[in-house]
Amino acid sequence: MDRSLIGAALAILALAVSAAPARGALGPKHGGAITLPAPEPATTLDPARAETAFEATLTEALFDRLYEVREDGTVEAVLAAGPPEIEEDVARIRLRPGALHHGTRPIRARHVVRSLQRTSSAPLASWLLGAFATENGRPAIREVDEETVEIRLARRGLRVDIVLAATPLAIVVGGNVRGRPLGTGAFRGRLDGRGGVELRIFRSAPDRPPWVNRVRFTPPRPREEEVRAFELGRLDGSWWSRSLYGGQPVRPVETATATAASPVLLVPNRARALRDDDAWGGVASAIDRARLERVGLVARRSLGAGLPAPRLPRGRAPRGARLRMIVRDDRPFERRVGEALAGMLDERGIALQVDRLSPDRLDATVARGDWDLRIALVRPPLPGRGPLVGAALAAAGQTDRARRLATQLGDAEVAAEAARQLDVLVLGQERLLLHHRADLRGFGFDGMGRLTLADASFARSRPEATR
Amino acid sequence: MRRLALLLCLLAPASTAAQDGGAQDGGARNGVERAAEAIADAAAELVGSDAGRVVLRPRVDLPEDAPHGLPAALTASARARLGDGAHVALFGGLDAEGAAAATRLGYDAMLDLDARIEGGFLRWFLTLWRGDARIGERSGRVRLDVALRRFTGFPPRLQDADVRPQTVLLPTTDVVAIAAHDLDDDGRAELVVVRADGVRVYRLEPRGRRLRARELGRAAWPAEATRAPVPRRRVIASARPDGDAVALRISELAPALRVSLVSGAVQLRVAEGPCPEGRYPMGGGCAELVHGRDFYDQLLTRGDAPTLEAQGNFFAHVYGEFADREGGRLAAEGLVTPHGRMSVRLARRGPEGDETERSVGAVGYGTALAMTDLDLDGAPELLASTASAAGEGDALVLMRALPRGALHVLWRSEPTTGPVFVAGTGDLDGDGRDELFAVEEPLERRGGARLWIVR
Repeated sequence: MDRSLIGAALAILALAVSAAPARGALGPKHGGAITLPAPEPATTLDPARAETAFEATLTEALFDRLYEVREDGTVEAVLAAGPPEIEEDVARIRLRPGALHHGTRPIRARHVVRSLQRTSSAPLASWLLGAFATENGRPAIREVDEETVEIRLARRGLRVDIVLAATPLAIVVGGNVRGRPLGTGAFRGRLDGRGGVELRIFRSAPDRPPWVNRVRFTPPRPREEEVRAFELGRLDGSWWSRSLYGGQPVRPVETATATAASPVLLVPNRARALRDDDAWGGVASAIDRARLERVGLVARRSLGAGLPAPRLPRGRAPRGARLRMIVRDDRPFERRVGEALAGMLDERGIALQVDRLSPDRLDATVARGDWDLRIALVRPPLPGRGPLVGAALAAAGQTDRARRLATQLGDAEVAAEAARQLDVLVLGQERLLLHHRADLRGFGFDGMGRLTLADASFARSRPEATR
Repeated sequence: MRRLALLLCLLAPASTAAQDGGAQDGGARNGVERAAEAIADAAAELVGSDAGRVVLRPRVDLPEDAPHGLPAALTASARARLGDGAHVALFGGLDAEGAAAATRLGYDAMLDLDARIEGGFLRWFLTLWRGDARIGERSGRVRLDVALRRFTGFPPRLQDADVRPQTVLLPTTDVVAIAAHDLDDDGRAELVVVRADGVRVYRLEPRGRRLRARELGRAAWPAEATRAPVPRRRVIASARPDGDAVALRISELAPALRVSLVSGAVQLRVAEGPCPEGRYPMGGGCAELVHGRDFYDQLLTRGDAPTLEAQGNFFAHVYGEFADREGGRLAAEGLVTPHGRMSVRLARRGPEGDETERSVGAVGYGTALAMTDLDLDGAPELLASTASAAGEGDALVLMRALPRGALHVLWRSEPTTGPVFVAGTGDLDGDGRDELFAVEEPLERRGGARLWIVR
């Protein structure tokens, strides 16, 4: 594997290790239920469409991949029985015998084929399929027998196991993919239809079942109500440390913090008011990243460590310009960022109208091109620079370039050049912070900003040894 | 009552508990029988098919007040094997003089058996003389178990002040299972360390007054073991000596594996047994994980022995049979439940056939548990870790399980820096006596683990 990929994997996953359950001699306690507020309404459980840290948390809990990149940077088979058998440009992958999905039946090759092929319709994940050859416009993935999948690669020598370790390529066996999918992860899950999610232990999980029996994310609620419910013990955590009026929980509380390795981008529409470099450069230079700290962003100029910042044109702020920015109305974080940007641009004489749109309307608006600025959340599918840049290209709508990058994920120079040419403004990375009851163990954020639900457990009462 | 009957029936002479690595009496055959069998094999090999009239001259170097009978016991099998032409005679003189005397007495050959105590072993030399010609020699050694100790004398009973803990740096971390077994038949146990990424084998060697762990080799999981079954959240593995190898399992979905030393190299291969598919090998039998949990079900299948029903589901389980100095036998079973309760069941059959069963329990113990009889008094010692809180260190406790149903704490360590997950038993220093050991993990995953050796 490429050195840069290994290095980045080590760095990111070192954080994940630090969030692993604290090790006591007796091991974590089994059982119990964790109730947390959802930071935003949960609308999908589809791993190919997960954008936010919350959605990534849910999909990580529900699904496994054929391979995973472990903490030491090695790629390890999870749903596959072993490394792929590669013959020229064809990779054969045997499935792990005995692995059951949430329907308590063995996972079959047809499930894998269907799951990978359906990714081609997901805008943020389809670029990864650029690593595979196509047949009749579809990825060349086929079932050899019940336990063997065959994939034809876009070129020889490509590390297909690394590509298949990407989080959007997690295997969805079936079910209602948006609301009640079947996977193989530590939890079975379903949306409650009100923005909340129910996760229940899957005892036959191939990667071992979780310690707790249930995790419930309640629908988002106003800040005051959330803090009060946490104080009263109706919730086991809160995204807020205190109410608007300064009320603070008095019971023992611990705080999990992390900076998600997922950049937040400001994407311009270069076909409208920002078509010329002068205007776009002026808007970009008018934005002070440091002022976005208060809305939960850690200011960064580049996508990640070791990557150059995107090259931005120089220009002057187009005073008097009227721009339209679209944000998802179900994402408080995007709304806050949009409002903060509107305030900054207003000082420079640019009127930024922030329109809150439902997910479907936002997708339609983006497709129509009826916007000037939008927020894009980049969720790297794998540790490393190449996957990060590829995800950023896809999030910025440059899918073709992302697909080309999918065949050279380990090439640091190609990734750096692609990052430099990315025509976006990197705002920073989302700061994550969750206050939770003090007796939760192994609970926190991993290096990708996901909550470690499967590792969480409640503390044991401490008996004294008797003589 | 049913459990009592079950435990006691395991004490029957034809017990198949030989698979239990912790059994001090060597399972079905005791040390005297093993030594006699080895001497008989050597005698038959030396004499060959044309034995003629052979005289066996045993010379056993024992303390003056030692009970009589060991020379006869050691030569009994050889006499039977050599047939009617073999006799046992005790006469003095040097080797050659003895051989000349045997010739004068009309024997075709003399087998001179010289046995002596070397540390924790009975070392024997068997020499074949024809006239004054020395034809050949064989030698061997047998660990001094309770049966041999009845002739050679018992070690002093372990007292609180006599406990000697020792720590050795083990250049590895994240140990998920451990077993000590003599893989190369050199009389000293090697340490088989199971990690999530494979197996490492160490030998403890003296360096000055201390011991040092030297790695003999390592092996990753074989390709046919389908590497994937090692789960991410918590690897649960078990290992136990089985024949000339160590049998282990790393997941209920993975095949059974065996670790052995072949020409000095560590060999890890897929092999059937000793447990059925999905069951983990351990001292008391083969256990299965409770579905969706990281502890084991209470039923232990035991191949050709009756299924053993432990007192409850468990994190750690030990089982062993121990002969006492008076001729009785004790079946001891210990476990730590998922709630950190240690439960010990003791079933004793006295020399006169009287049977008793006692149980005793204590709370606050962890997943590391090992048992052996350090002082050969018939009351096994247990080494256990405590149930430390997450993120804290741990402690080790050495206890004696008394047949009357009591746990006596002999020693308790100072709080350790890191947690202790695994423990085991075996003769790591090659002195013929078992030690109890446990692995303390480093808190920061840096450096190495500490191997605690207690005896």
